[in-house]
Amino acid sequence: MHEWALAEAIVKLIENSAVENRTNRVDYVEITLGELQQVDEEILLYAFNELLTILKNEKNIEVVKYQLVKERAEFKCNRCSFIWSPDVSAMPANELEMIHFIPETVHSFISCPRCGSHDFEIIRGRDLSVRLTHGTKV
Amino acid sequence: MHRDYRLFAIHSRLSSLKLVVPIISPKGGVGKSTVSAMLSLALTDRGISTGLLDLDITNPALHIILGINIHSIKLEEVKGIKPFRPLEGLEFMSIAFFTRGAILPVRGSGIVNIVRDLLAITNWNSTVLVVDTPPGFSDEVFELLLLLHTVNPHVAKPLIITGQSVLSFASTKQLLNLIRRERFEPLGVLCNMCSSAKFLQETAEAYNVEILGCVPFIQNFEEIIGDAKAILKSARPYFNGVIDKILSIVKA
Repeated sequence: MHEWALAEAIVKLIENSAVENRTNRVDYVEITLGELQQVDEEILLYAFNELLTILKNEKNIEVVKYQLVKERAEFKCNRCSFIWSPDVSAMPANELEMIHFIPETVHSFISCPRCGSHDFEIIRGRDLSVRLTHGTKV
Repeated sequence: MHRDYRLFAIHSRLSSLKLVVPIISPKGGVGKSTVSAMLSLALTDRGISTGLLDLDITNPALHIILGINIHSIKLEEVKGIKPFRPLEGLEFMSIAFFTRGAILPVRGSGIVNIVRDLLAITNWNSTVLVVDTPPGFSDEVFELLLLLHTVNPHVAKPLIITGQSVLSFASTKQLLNLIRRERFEPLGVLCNMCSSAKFLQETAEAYNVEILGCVPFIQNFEEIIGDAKAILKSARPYFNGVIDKILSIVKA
């Protein structure tokens, strides 16, 4: 998207969820950041903080605490069941940029180190996911 | 509570479009990609700002048809990714920009993720979006229709492509049944590589669907692949029915 647009989508999700739950207080937001997202954390956090301030000022919705949790990538081969964590830092920059936008493109660039198959599942580290805990209803 | 943040981005990106036309057919080889390219070029030629999305994830081909060198293009990042503009009035996006044309071997759940990612990152600035889909009615088509349904079920009007073959015709009838049960209203049916649409008349009446045109087999098509201007010239006479229908919707 990326970092700013990601932050916008996350804040929109928080706003929507607060409205749905009829609360103006979100106690806790946990953002799990998969390694394959290749997100610049500093930019994401800066954008997120700026947008949270706007959310508080314009919609009176407050996020009390948030945390960014990093998740290492892990793949499982569908052919030989081998499970491995790729050395993402060793991948060429142009491939990492593609993976940053569309993580599944990793299937074009790497295969199972044991049997060579491209038929593998991304079992961890693909997504950016958001978990929320709401406060008292208004 | 876990939520997919992409759905919020997709909703806001698709809301700006007046009409989305998925090009669908259960049968392979009826010319969905060529029709998608021709329709987009013809729409642009008639002054309608058009987006074209190649949703054939494992085997995208529209960049080849339009002569776009994916290796030399760096997509611009402005609040997401701006689609490539091969010519004035036309925006284009494809997974091929991210795989550099390599085959993307991926299963169903991966396809769903890619469709969501592509729709979440692409910052369209068009009136109409034409979406080329792979044969069948599986992950790509289902996910697109699901996401469009959450935005506005009336924004999506699939254009069904059929050939004259008994095999293609049989699956077109089944697809018309399915689309209606899914509560989507088809834009119409377009016959491709057909000398006449007469074979479809009875079915069109029975299913209350419009035949929007008949594109003949274009003898030199292989020679003009990669030349958007030549493709537009070949397409122009055959797409007025589809374009008039689209105009009646977007200008209503």
